[in-house]
Amino acid sequence: MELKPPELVYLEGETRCDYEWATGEVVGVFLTALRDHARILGAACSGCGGVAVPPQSYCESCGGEMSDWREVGPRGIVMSWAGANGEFEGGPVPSPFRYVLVRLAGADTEMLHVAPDDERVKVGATVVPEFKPPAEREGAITDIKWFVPDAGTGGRER
Amino acid sequence: MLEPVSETTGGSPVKTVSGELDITFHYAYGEHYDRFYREMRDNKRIMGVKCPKCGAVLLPPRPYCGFCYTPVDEWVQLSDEGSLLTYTVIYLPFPGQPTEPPYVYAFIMLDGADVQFPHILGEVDLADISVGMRVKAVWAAERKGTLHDIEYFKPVKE
Repeated sequence: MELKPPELVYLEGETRCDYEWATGEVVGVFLTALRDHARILGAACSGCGGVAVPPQSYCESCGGEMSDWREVGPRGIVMSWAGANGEFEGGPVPSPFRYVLVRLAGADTEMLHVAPDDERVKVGATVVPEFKPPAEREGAITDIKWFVPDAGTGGRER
Repeated sequence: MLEPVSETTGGSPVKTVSGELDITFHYAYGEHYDRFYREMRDNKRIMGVKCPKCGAVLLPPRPYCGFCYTPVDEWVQLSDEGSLLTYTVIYLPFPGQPTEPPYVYAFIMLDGADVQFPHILGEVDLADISVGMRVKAVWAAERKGTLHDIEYFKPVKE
C-alpha cells in the first residue's frame, strides 16, 4: 500500500486580534491602585469576612456582597507553583519562569502570578511583588512584574 | 457594596485592559483546492471542474456541483482572461487587505467558466473601469500557492 502522501499545498496565514477587556468596576479599582500606588487591594465580604484577592463583587465562599476594601500583602506565601520551561506565545515573561499561586498577607484566596525560575520559589516560601517602575505601569496585573523570594525587604520599596 | 477608595483617586480610573492575540495557522486546502493552487503556482494555469450532468464549469474546483448537487470529477483548464462582471472600490483600510487602498475588488467571469472569480484589478484608472470590460491575469513572479499567485487582473487593450 502506497503510504507516501502527495506534496500538499497549504495556506499559511496569521490572524491578529486586538482587544480591550472591560475590567468591571471592582477589578478596575484594583488595577488603578496597582498602577498609581503599587498597592494590592482585596475585597472583604459583608457576610463571612473573607478577603478576596483579586477582588470580586460577591464572595465565592458564602455568596455575600463584598463591602470593604482591604490592602493586602505585599508579602505572600507560595501555596502552589508550576514550571513554565518551554517558549510559547503570549507568556507574561520570557521562559523559563514559574507560575505561582500566592496567598497575600491578609487575603483568604490565592492570586495567580509568576515568579523567576528560582529554586527558592517553592511551596511555603515567602515572596514579595516586584512592581514595574511607575512610568511602565499601565493598569494591568502585569504592573507587578513577578513575585520574588523575600530578601527581608518586605517588598516595601516602590 | 464596594465604593471607590482614596487609593484610586488621582489618575484616571482603569476601565479596560488592552491585549492582542496573534494566531498563526496552516490551512490544509484539501484535494480540490490543493490541485487548484498547485496548478496556479507551478504552471500558471487556472483549473476548474465541469459538472457531468448540467455542464456547469465551476471555479474554484469543488467535489459537488453547486447548481445541481451532482458529484464532479472532470477537470478543465480555464482561460486567464475574462470579462468584468461587477466591481467595487475599497477606500477604507482594514486588517488582511491584499494591497493598500484604494484598490478595486472585482468579480471576473473567466472565459469558459460559469462561476465568477473574485480578485482585484490593477494597471487601470478608476475612471476607465466599466462592467463587461476584458481583463487578463498578471501572474506573480514568485508564486506560493495562494490567490496572490495572480497579482491582479489588468485591462486587455483591444
